[in-house]
Amino acid sequence: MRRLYISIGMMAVITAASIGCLLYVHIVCTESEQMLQEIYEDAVNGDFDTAYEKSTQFYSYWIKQESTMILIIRHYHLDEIRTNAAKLPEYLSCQNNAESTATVKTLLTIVETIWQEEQPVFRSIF
Amino acid sequence: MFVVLIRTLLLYALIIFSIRIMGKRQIGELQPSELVVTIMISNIATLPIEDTNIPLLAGITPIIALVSIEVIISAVTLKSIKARTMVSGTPRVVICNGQVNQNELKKLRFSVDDLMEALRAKDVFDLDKVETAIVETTGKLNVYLKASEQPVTPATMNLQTEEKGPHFIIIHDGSVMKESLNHVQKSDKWLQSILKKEKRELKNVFILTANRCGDYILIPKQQKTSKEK
Repeated sequence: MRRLYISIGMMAVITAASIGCLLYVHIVCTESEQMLQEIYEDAVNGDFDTAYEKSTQFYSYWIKQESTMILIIRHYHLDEIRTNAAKLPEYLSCQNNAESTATVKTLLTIVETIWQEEQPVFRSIF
Repeated sequence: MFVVLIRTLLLYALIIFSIRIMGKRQIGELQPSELVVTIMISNIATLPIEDTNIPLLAGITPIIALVSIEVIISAVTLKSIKARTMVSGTPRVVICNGQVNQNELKKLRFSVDDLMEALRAKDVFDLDKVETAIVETTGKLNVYLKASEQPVTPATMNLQTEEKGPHFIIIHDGSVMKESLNHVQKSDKWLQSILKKEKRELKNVFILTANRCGDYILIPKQQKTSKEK
């Protein structure tokens, strides 16, 4: 009987942890998307100073989240985001519109992909 | 490389824990569901070891989930015959009253060669000797011989025998197995008297086995040679 209780307990913990992870990824992805969207709009409008500031904020925000995200999602997504997020402030400081908007779009796509892969929907399950 | 080593050690510990949780049944004959879980666990565990891109939790979570499901299902099958039949199937009688049940063999996709091979594994080389043969849910064949072929036992000869019980290991390499002492219904005092009788100290005993009647076998530790010293 003890084994059964341990198993039921473990299943409950796994289910709760999975839901917790899903919510966490959702929050991080939503916040990241918002930040990246703002950076994109600023860059398109030519406000590179504000975009630069926001991109450094995004980079430090992502570094903070990465330590938890590394437990949940595939590591190559994290490497891609880290590399692109590190490039972004440099492109913005050089006022390179094409490179910076392209990098933001890449980041947005990766963040979207992460969320899509985590969602328990038909597409990600099958 | 060090990451791979740490991951391997963690997953090794997890699998040992999983097998312990699944219990002794798992180590012996496997039921279909247990076989599936064992194969899946061994496969899943290797993925995060090989590919460091996969989070360790992605390997740990399915292993724990599979083990938990297996234990829960085995608890359910213990209570419900329907569930047990669904998960493990039922034993099939392939030889009944000395007659081979060909329909059952067909259903089991068991060829005559398979049947003969399984019988030979049970030291039965002649179909005529078999009264009943059952294919268990684990796939193992169990055989009941005809009365004329059964080995002679004291009971068949109407002989009176004393029930002595099996021998248990009481001392193993100088350590007393308290549980075994309880099994043979003997006390510490009895053990001390044996050691005194044999003029041995506890630490110098390699093995001491005994049964309920008090019969015992004592093997002392070998003295170290000068080279070993």
